[in-house]
Amino acid sequence: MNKDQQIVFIIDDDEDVRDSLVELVTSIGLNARAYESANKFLSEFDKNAPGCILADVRMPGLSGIELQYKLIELHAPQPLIIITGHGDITMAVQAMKDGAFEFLQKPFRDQDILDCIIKALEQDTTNRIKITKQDETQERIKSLTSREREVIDKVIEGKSNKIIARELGISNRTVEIHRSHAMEKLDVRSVTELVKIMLSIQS
Amino acid sequence: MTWKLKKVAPIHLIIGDENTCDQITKLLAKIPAEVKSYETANAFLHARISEAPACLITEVKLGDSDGITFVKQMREHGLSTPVIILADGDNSVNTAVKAIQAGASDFIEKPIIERDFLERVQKVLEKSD
Repeated sequence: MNKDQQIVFIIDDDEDVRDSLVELVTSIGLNARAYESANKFLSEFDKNAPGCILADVRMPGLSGIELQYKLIELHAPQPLIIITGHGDITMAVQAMKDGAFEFLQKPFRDQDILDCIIKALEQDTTNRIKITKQDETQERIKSLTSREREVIDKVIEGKSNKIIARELGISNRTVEIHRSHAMEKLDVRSVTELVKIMLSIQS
Repeated sequence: MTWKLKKVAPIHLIIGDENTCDQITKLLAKIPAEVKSYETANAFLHARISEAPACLITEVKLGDSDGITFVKQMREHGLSTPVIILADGDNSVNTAVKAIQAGASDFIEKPIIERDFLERVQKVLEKSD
């Protein structure tokens, strides 16, 4: 993902904090967009916009933690950095278990938050590569004929061509043909690769 | 609380502090699981383990290591056994965040409250089930 397209979304009701974060982020050549509330941010939210999200916890309207739940529901790929002046261990543990990228207490050092943002942007890129790969795999799986899919499902269960042939009432040779066509369509060379690719779309 | 699980795999404790170890052992007596304890990470690593543990419970501060480094090393070696880290009274938010980032399933503050503790252990066990 091109770094120039990534955006650091900053959500804090405190104007001073917002301004200084925007200044800090843009000072190292990153793009920033600031919002005074999570509600405003969500009204414009686009999960296809690469970047990362920085949100304060205590805000009028949706809190940073409530925003996190919304983002989970939306399957947002952008990593979320939670910043707060009033954090406690319980809140931090919960937010991290729910998949926050980082939970930073105010006041933080400029360098710490910049390091964190840079790592979050890298994570966003990684997330998007993974999503693209999963989408491609889904497309490939969709291109299988129903017979090919049937054969592949049985291969994954560890069944031999002979057993598959018997179960489907077709010849060994036909099983082999379906199997090799399917593997070609999925671009895999071994059963191990096949299992891996099929598992990757389940998670 | 009601314990929803039947029999679970052993729970291993790696806790240096004797009092904490006793307290946790007593609480876990309410769970249908065998409990094994080790004083140090090294003792755990060199122990012969016949049955894969359902989860590990350890502390931030260990005699020969620390709980967070320990989890990190486990994950680097591809071991996915869930780990619960017990905090010390003086641990910060930052330590909690690092523990989860390192791959701990939960980070529990002291003083340990029986009900809360057992519920959280149960959640971790359910997930790994």
